[in-house]
Amino acid sequence: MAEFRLPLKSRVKKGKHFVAPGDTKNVKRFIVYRYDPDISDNPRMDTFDIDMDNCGPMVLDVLIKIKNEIDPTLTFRRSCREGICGSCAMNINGGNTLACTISADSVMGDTKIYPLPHMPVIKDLVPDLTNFYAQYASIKPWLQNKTNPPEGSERIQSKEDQEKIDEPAACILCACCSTSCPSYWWNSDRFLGPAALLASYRWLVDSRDDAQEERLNDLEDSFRLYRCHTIMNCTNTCPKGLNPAEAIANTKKMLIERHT
Amino acid sequence: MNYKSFLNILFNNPLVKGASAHWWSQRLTAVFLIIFGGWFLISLTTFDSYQYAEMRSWVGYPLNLMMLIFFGLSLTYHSSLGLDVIIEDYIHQPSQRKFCLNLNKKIHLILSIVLIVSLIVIYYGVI
Repeated sequence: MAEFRLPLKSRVKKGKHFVAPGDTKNVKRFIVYRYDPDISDNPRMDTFDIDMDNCGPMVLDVLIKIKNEIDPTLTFRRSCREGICGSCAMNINGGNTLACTISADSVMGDTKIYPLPHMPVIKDLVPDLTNFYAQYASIKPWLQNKTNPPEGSERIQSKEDQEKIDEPAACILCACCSTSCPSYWWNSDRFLGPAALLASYRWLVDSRDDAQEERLNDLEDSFRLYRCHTIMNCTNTCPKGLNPAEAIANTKKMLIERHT
Repeated sequence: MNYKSFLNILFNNPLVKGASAHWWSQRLTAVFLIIFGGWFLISLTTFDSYQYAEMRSWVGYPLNLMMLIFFGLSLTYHSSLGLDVIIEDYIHQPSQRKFCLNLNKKIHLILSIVLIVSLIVIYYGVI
């Protein structure tokens, strides 16, 4: 049944406050979720007052500054710093986004930073994405074709066919969309979530793939696909501007139309 | 989806099954509810007194009876499908979920039977 309160050990407490040096003029406050599984204590929210005159412009720059200069135990994922790898996906002031592409100045007032919602937390801002990646693998995200490519050549696609997969193929699997979806929060064990369904759609519309029927059969399930209730949080939050909700709606249409 | 394929699915598509059929039935009954609900609301504006005798004579027309039965069945079926989705969303324990889904179907089946019997009783003026 639905749980209305967090378990005792999951209730978030107020944490430490790291004050900026006295002569700092341009101070911005960041309140960051902290959880250490090695310490038997509740999660806490630490407050960091940051001198923005000596810090890079993005929220990821702020987190790197905190880790380098204030608290080296702060843990988060990051890699490319330019919105390509999806590693630094987190919840910033209530919205899932990439810390490397959101400017610290774009957030008014104090900035609250949490890990991606409703996922098990490994440490601080690092969620456990094991289930998310397993769901991605379950849609068989590779070309399935019963014939060999033409001798000495690639499988040729028309420009129009390529355009169909341009958008869904641009997904970086940051998990912002899936972890913003209430249906995914409630049924992440069985609902594939917007990211995996967008990836599935990318192969469904690929003119070179022969497994459309099998892929649609795999989605013919009241949980895997039909837990999507068109809430649209996925499209609203996608940091790459993609539209997983439209891809899911098109997949539902393909399931109905294949019998006509 | 153009209107021809929509009509084709509507009238010639016994193959839609499983989860797709559930999803499709929700959309279909929603369209029926708009049509029959609209007809019902417009009909309500045509009464003078809203007294029992006037209502009974209105239900006494065969066309009105048929429309009311279609409206009621669309309503109960749509309600049943909607509650299925809510139960599947919120009840995670498989045996509890199965029990609630079965209970939901039975309650709506009883509601549909009561609705049809009531309308027929009114139609024949038994009460």
